This record gives sequence, C-alpha cells and structure tokens, in this order.
Amino acid sequence: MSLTILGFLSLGVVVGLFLPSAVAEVLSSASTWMLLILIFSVGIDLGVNKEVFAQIRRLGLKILLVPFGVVAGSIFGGLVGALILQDPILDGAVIASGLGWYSLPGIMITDAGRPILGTTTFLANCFREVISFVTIPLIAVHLNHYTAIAPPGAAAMDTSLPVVRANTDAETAVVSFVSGATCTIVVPILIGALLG
Amino acid sequence: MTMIIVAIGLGFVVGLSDILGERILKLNGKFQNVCLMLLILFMGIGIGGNPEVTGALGTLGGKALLYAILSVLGAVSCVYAITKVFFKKELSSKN
Repeated sequence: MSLTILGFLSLGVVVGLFLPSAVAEVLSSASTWMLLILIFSVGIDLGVNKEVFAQIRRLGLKILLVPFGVVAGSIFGGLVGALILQDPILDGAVIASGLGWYSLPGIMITDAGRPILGTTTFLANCFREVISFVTIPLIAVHLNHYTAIAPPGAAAMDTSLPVVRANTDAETAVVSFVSGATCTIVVPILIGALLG
Repeated sequence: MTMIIVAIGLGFVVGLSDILGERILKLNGKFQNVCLMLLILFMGIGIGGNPEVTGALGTLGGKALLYAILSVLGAVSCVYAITKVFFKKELSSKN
C-alpha cells in the first residue's frame, strides 16, 4: 500500500505544480469534504464492530500512553535535530511540537514574530504528514499496529485515520482517533508554552 | 475538529444501528479504499499547488525534512518501546 500511496501523492504534487493555483485551491477544498465523507465511512466501520468498544474500555486510561509516547518522542526528535543543525534548542522543540499539524502551529509561530521558524514548522509538519502516509503501512506490518499511530501525531484523528484503518483493525483505529485528538489538544498548549 | 467528530459520530451511529446490509458494508470497505487514494491525490495537489510550500522548499526544505524525519523516528521509537512494555497482551493477538 505504501507504494500506491507514494504514487498517488507524487502524482498529485506534480499535477499541483502545473495546475493554475485557483484550480488547485478548489481541489484542495474538495479534499476537505472527501475527508469528512471518508471519516463518516470509517465511523460506520467502527459502529459495526461492536466488540471494539469493550476492548477499548478494558484498555482504560492506559490508552493515553500512546499519545504520551507520540509527544515525548517527537519533541526528543526535534531536540536532536536542533543539536545536529546547531539551531537554538527550543526552536527544535517548537518545530516538533507541531506533531504533524501544519496549519495552526505555523500561523501561531509566525504571529508570534518568528516567520522563518513558522515556515520551517509548517514545512516540517507537511513533510511529516507525507512521511506518515508512506510509513504507516510498513510500520503496521514490521513493528506493530499501535506503533503505526505514531508517525502522523495529531493527524491520526483525521487525514491519516483512514490509512491507519486500512492497514490495521477497528480497535487500532479507535486508539488512533483518541491519540490524534489528544495531540490536537496538546499542540497549541505546547507551542504557546514554548514560545513563552 | 468539530466536523471530524460529528462525521465519525454519525457514521458510528449508522454502523451501530445495523440498518446497513452485508452488501452495503462490503461496498463501504471498497469505497474507503477508492476515496482514500483520491484524497491522497488531492492532498498532493494541495501541496504542489501551494506557493507557500514550493516557495520555501529551496531555502528551508532540507532543514524541515530533517526535523520531520527525526520527529517521526522519535515518536515511532518511543511508542514502540511503550507498546513492548505496556501493551504486550493486547498486541499478541494481532501481528
């Protein structure tokens, strides 16, 4: 599946480069609606699998260990990046705190008077989404299902949720939704705190 | 976020209510696959057609890519370690 995803994504990027920007914008907003329909369809899937929620209830609060790992691991990666690139250490943490959500953090940071850091955060989290699409299927097979939730971070509740569902099972899709929603709540708090 | 929660909630209620037959549910699975590929294509178009992205790629692209790779690697290693310690039982039935 990774190769198919990579193929469609690259095709899209190339088409996007040559399309007039107005058309690209229309298609991009069409994708918002398509995402909602897709999420509705994933919801049906979860509702049909009635045993899933009993399993989730059994997991209880332990489920939050997954988003905790996503946040801690991402920030650690950002700190390592800052060390390698010799950037201010907090900048690395800020970029990684986007957790794959590119729109809001980029705007928050730019508004805080750091336009270059904002653009880097925006791009890094765009890349993170692309990397997620391609790596989720591989991680689901070679590591385990819950770990496949890690790459997309906050997007595990929306754009990447159908990819997680297609490569794992209904229970993992619910964990993915919970993890993504938790990350989505954490992102603005983290960025706000780090920017001081 | 509200729209996403409404969409998944509505779908969930429809699924739970058992009003859809076996055949429609099978179609739902196929529909998801087709829709997913279209969505990914459209998202690619959104990325390629966004001058903010393409304009900044040259100067900040390499740096941003390194940060993206490292934060994914960090998240994957951390969650993998957590699953090995805390979710052994749950995952033993999967892969």
